[in-house]
Formats: sequence, structure tokens, C-alpha cells
Amino acid sequence: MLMPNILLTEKCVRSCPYCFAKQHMEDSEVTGITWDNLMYIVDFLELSGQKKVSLLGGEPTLHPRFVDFTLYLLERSFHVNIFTSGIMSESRLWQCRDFLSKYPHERLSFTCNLNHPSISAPAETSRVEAFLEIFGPVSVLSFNVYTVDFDMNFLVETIDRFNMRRHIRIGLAHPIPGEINRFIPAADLKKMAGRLSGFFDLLEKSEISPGFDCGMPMCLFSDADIGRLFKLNQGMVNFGCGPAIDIGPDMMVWACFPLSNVNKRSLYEFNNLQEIDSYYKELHASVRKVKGGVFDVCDDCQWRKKELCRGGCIAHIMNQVPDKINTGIIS
Amino acid sequence: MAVVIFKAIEKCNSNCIYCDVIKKHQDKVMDYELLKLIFIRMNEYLTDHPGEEITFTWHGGEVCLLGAEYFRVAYKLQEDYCPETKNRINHLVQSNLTLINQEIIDAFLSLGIKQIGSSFEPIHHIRGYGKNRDSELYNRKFIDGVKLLARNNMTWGVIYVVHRLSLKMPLEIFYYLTNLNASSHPNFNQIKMYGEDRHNLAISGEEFADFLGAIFPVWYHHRERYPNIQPFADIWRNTFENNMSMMCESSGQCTYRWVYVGPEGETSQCGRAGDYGILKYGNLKNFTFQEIMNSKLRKPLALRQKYLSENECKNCRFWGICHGGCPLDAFMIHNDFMKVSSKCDTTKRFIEKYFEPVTGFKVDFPYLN
Amino acid sequence: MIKPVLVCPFNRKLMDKIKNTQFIITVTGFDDIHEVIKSVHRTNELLGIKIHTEKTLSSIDFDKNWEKFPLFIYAENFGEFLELFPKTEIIRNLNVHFFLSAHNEFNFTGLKILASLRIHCGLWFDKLPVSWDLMNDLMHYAIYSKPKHAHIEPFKWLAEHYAVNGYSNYDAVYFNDPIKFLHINSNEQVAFTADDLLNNKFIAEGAENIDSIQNLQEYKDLSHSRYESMLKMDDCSFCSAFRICLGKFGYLKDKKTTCQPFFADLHDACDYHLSGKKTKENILWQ
Repeated sequence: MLMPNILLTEKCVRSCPYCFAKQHMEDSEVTGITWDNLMYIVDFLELSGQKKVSLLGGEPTLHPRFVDFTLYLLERSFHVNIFTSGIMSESRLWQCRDFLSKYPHERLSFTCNLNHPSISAPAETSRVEAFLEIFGPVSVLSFNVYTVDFDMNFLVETIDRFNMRRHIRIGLAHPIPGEINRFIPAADLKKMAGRLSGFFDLLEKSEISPGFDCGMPMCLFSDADIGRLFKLNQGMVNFGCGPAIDIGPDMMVWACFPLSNVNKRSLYEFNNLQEIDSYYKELHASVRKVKGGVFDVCDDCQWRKKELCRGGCIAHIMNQVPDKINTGIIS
Repeated sequence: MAVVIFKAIEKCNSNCIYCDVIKKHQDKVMDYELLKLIFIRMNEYLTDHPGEEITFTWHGGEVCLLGAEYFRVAYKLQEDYCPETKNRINHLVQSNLTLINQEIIDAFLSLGIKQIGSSFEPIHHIRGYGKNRDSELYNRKFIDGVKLLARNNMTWGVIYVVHRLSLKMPLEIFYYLTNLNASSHPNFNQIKMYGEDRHNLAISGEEFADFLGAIFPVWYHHRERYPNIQPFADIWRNTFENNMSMMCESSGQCTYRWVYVGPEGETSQCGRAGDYGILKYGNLKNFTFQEIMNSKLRKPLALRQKYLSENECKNCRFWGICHGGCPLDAFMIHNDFMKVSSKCDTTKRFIEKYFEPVTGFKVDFPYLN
Repeated sequence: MIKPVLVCPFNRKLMDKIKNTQFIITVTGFDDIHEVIKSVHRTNELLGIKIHTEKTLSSIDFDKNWEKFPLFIYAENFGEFLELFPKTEIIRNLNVHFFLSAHNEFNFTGLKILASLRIHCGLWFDKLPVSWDLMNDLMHYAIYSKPKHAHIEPFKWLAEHYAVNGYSNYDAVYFNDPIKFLHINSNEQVAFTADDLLNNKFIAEGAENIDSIQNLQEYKDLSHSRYESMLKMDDCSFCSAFRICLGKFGYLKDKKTTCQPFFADLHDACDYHLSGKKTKENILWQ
């Protein structure tokens, strides 16, 4: 089961072009999770046997109780990973430094989502750099690919400069079913993969592993490239797509952020995380019965059937054949 | 086991609105000679029936009006005239507790009495002193009595008589009584009024069922909290635990077990018969207990069970928890023992409208040969 | 009969005068703690120190030298989590119970924070308004919540001491159960409760008379004090949950929307705790 995500707030400091969270955040009435709701979630996760959690948003550090909540989770013996842009006020940064900088990576980690400097304002960049000066060694970079002509050189430079963890989390911008947003269409995914594999030499030389967030189809890569990925990632390569379980500040849950307006349920309807996971897995399995994956060939793909690859992001499938999928699935 | 409702006195210090005993205006108090005879008669009976016991219930009127000395004399008489059988005489007391004092308690304790049956009414001017039934003073005295019992490690329980004014507040009454005594819970009885009902307090069997029905769901869902509320506990035990035992008017087994003894030694079927002056079995001055218990005049009651089961109560699924109700109640209403009492209406309505829907269990206890 | 514990202010002369007694000493400042511990006569036993502070809980400077001594700290407000957090390790090594005022709404959250971090805590009540919804929420957390957490009083006490066919008086949590605790002031005037002491309702005067208090009829009748409510036939006497509340909130004008539904739920919670119910069905644990 993937690590669950708690959205501390739905407010953000940026307006990224690919952000599939944009729709959700614009619609949201809730600004931040309360202490009581957080404690409920923590109890829920503890009873589910899950002691690892990610905090996200919007921008989680915007929440006035961000540091309080993080410390609380740590005190409850959770491993906490924080998804952040790294952009925060000075006072927030000093607060994080004072309270959080002593924790080792095994207890507290950051996943810092970086955009290319060409689309980042200088003020934003300096904020991020200030953040990485302090938390670089416990942070992993995250990069969202939403065009085929992306660059990764700046990522390697950033990792080196701030002594960061030598790993990049590569996410694909996915479509939001029923909405219009920037994402890489299925027809261009192969080109994207080709572009990505062009950076393997650099990554190998820099000893940086490129990990995939969910929804990457395996067939985008040649066997040789898959081999390189295998080596670059010490044998762990992910071509999966599964419920990531997001829990909103309003105690609603959904399968993952691209599907944040699909079959949202209340956390209170479930007794544990396993039930939520099963619920969404069943739902998604019924979607994949209609269309196995992003490409037509996915239906008969042996690797998909053996679950080595899931056939790409389910949000792509829902976007491609919304009429064929039972309207009860998408609500 | 024989049950003696013993009324050495029928006078009372209270003026409870529904009481049939005080209406008799009976001032007599049983003298010690007759009291001695009572113990002699009990000894005879128990000697002839080695396995038997007698439950000897001191009743009234108000028994505390007898005074502590009376009970001390009773104790001595028992010691003198029941030396071998005294251990099979179980004394119980029914008292309003407003006159109880330490001397009386000491006398009770010598007779092995450790619990007192009583009655209480949260609604004012139903039970109380004098013409206007001063319940404030009465209740204060009652509480004083209860405190005294507690100091002597004695327990007590109440019967609550449900009347017309109770109908508007069943749960409030229930909670009040269970708050008053957390360890021994009330026994709800329907008011019995025959003849003139000047205060319009009488209620029908259905109304009594509705009163019980308002309380039943609370009791059912909290049975551990309120372990022995009657009649719920008995019905429950009969239906779920197959423990077929009911209180007197529902048991169908009162014929040869009960006897009332009045201040002059007169006997009747039971306390109610003594109050209404029916089914008189003669005087203990002239008859033994055995003769009283086996009186031919009990025969109609003995025939009643079979008769009802073949007629009015034929195939009735509620038979096992009703048995046609109290024969005396039937007689007072219909002038005929061979009729069902108002309990029939109560039982049917309560079970069908409340017990079965709440518990999900279907009651089925027809007469079995 | 067990001798009651004496609750008294820190007064050396008084503590020296009384022998063979268990004490709860009340102080207003944390500086007194060490002095109190040193001052207890060898024949007496100090069961705890009760401190009522104006400070927020988070602003208290905890001294690791307080060690395992039972401290009962009453504060008006929780304060700030970030201020408290660095002290949690010291707190856990102390034997301290925190009580927060039920009047302040954030304190309910604060108590959940404390309990979930395995720090014993509880509510204390004055006659100021309380949010009964928050009370109910906290009570449910204290009794029904499955993840392990520390005690939250008075719910824990009630659940553990609940007399299903009797009466349960949680005043013992606050040393206000007169059967177990007596209150004495520096003038050696004795009362049954802290409130009685404040209102000059004394039952004895002079430390030498303390031992004879248990022979007083008023003392013997303490266990029947509920009957006064029954005689008054007030709202409390007709309440379904009287047996676990005993009229503590009798001063409230509107009980139907405040204490009554709350204590009815608490009563059910006590039954639940007693039964130790564990269902096999997937019933929502929340």
C-alpha cells in the first residue's frame, strides 16, 4: 500500500501550469486541517498499521500549524515526508529550522517540487534556495513533466549545490477527467520517454536515481532503457498506478490527486486504510476492464496482465473513454 | 412454598389515594394470643410438611404502627412455638418506611428481615398524610426511613402503582425511581379500582401497556443497568432464558399457595381477597393452616386454569406469561372467576406493540397439557 | 473505616501538628514544590501536590528534579504546542497530571493532544459555561477511541469506577469526595469540600478534632446526600444519568440541551466500557 497523503491546506504559493490540483484548490472552501481532524487521521493510520505519512497541499508549509503538526506526527512515531515547493516566508523557514532541522532523514524527509528556472520568478527561486540551504540533505527533488521538451540539467545542479539526496522523483502531469489541464497526451508519451532516456548518462554520471511517480507505462522504454533504469534505481523501478489515498482537510478521501473529484468519500465511512485501498482498487479494476491502459495494446499486454506494468495512469483512461465508463464510477 | 399475607393491623398513617385497605376502616390489631396461635398453626403446618417453607409477609395498613415491642413478642413466640421449624419461616415486610425507627429495625433483624418492600410516588398528593395527602412531609419521612435502613445495611425496593396521572410521564417516573434506589428496581403495577373512581385515576389494561411500552426500550437496551424491573425481567426470563416463573397474578399457580390472615384471624385467598372481602376460607382459630390451604372454596381457582385454556384462552400464545391474570381481578370486573382479567389486554398490547418489535422475538407460550 | 485524606494549603505548622495522615497539599506557585516535599512529617504521607496556576500549561518551567512526585497541575489554558513540545520529554519523566479548564474551547483539543502523547490529563470545572458538544467529543475520544492514549479525567475515573447498579461520584478525581477527602485551612477549620471551605461551611475546628469527624452523623450521612435532590424533585432527580452525575450541574437553567444529553451519552459509554464490547462486525470505530 502506498503511503497516504494528508493535505494540510488547499492553499498554494504557486500556480503551476500542469497542476492537476488547481481545480480542486479553486473549488475548495476549506483552508486548513484542524488539530482535531489531524489527530483523528493519525489515530486512523496508527490503527491501520501505517506509520508513514506524507504531508501535502497546496503548500503544506502555509498552514499556520505546519510545524506543530509535523512535530506531533514525529512525536507519535510517524515517519513524515513533506511535499513542498520550498517557498515559504522567512519566519516559517526559521521556525522549521529551529524545530525540524535536527531530525534525520529516516524520521523526516522533504520532497521539494522544482520548476524550471525559466518559469520561476527570482523571488521564488531565492526562497527555494534558502530552504534547500537548511533542508537540502534531507530532501529529494521532485520534477513534474508536462511538456516533451523538458530539461533536467538544472535538477542535477541543484542536487549537487545543496547536497541533496541523490534521487529525483519524476512525475507525469496527468489529465483530470472531465476537465482541461496541461498534460502530456498519450500520443506524445513515447517522445517524452525518449527525452528522459537522453538524461540517463547524466544521471548515471551524477549517481542520481530517477524514480517514477505512478502512471508511467513500461512500454515507453526500450528493454535497454529499462535495464538502465533498473541499474540507476538499484533494482527498483515502478510502472504502477494504484490508489495513493489522499485525505483532505475536510476529511474527504480520494484515490489520488488527478482523481480528486472522482468518487470522493468521507474518511468516516471506513474503518481503516486497507478498506479505503480496497475500495478504490475495486473501482479502478472495473475501469480497467473497460480499457486496460493508456494505449490500445494494453488490453492484451502480457506485462500488464502480470502486473509488471499497470498500463499507465487511470486518469488517462477515464479521459479517453468517459462515455464507455459507467457514470456511477465517475461522480 | 406457602405465602402468608399477614395483616396484624390494617390501620395506616398515610392516606394513599388508591388504597383499598384503609377504606375498610379496620382499627383492630391482632392480640398476642391470636399471634401466638398463628405461630402454633405455622409450626403444625411445617411439621406436617418437612420440605415446605412459609414466606410470612408482614403487611398492612402500616406494620410499623404495631411498634417494636410487637415484633419482639413475635420473635419470642416464634422461638417458643416453632423451635424446630423457625428456620423455615421467612419473614418479609411491606412498609411505607415513614414510621420506622432503630428499635423496630432491631426487632426486624432478629426475625431475619434484611430487606423491606415499600412503595413510592414522585407525583404529589397521591400518597401522603391527611385529607390533602401531604406528600412533602411524607416523602421526607420516607427518606429518613431509607437512610436508617442504609445505616443498618438493609435493602429496600418499591412497588409503583401506575395511575392516570402517571401516564403522561412514564420515563420520568422510571428514571426517578431508579435514581432513588440504584440497586433494587421498581415493580410496576396497574392501579386497581373497583366501584367509584372519584379522582379519575383508574386506567385500562391498554393504557398500562402503553405506560410500560414507553419504558421498555430503555430497559431493554440497558438491562445490566436496570436488572430487575418488573414485569420486564420476568417476561424476559420466560422468553429468553426459558425460566418459567412469573409474579403471582401471571403465574396461574396461586390457588393452593397463598393465604391472607387478618387482624382477627380471618383468612382469604390472598391480600387482594382480604381487601375485597371475597374467597373467605374461615378463621385460623377454627381451622389449621393445612385446612385453610386445602379449602374446598379454592376449587374454582383450581379449575380456572384448565377452563380458560379450553375456552377464552384457547391457543393463546401469551398464555405462559399471563395465565388469564388474577382471578380476583376477573371476579371484581366480571363477577366470575372463569373470565380473564384486565391483564389480558395489557399483555397482548404490550407484547405485540412493544416487546416483540423491540426485541425481534416472537412470544409463543400456548397452554401445554 | 478508611481515614480521609486531608487537603490543605502549604502550612508547616499545620503539617507538623497533624500526624499519621495522608495529605494533598495545595500550592499556588511551583517554587513551593521542593519545600513541600521536604516539610512532610515522617509519620505523614504526601499523596500529591495540587497546583492551581495562572500560567498557561505550555509556559510552565518543568523541573526534572520533581521526579516521580505526584503533581496535579490545574491551568486555565493549554497554551502553545510549540512552547510545550520541547518539554515533553521532561514531562514524561515526571508523575504529573494536567487539568485544563472546561471553559476554554481549545483546551478540549489540548487534552486530546496531551492524551495522545501519553500524558495524563483531565478537565476541571468551575461554574462558567461549557461547550457540551466539545465535552461529548472529548468523552467519546477518552472512552471509545481504540488507539492507546493516556487518561482523560473525569472520564477515565468514571469508566473504571462505574457502579452499574449504584452511584458514581467522580469528585474523587478533584479530591472533593468528602468520604475520601477532607479540606482544612490554615486556621484548622475543616470542611467536606473545597467549596464548603471557601464558603465557611465548617464541620469541625481544630486539628485535634479531625479524627472524630468520621463519627459525626453528618459524615455518616454523606453517602445519602443524593436524597436531597430526590426530595426536591428537581430536574436532576428525574434525569436518566443522575447516578453518574449526582446533580453536579444542577445550577444550569437549561439542562435538556446541555448536561442531560451529555451525561446520558457518558452513561452509555460507561456501560460500554464495563462490557468490554468488541464486535466482530465492521462497525465504524469512530
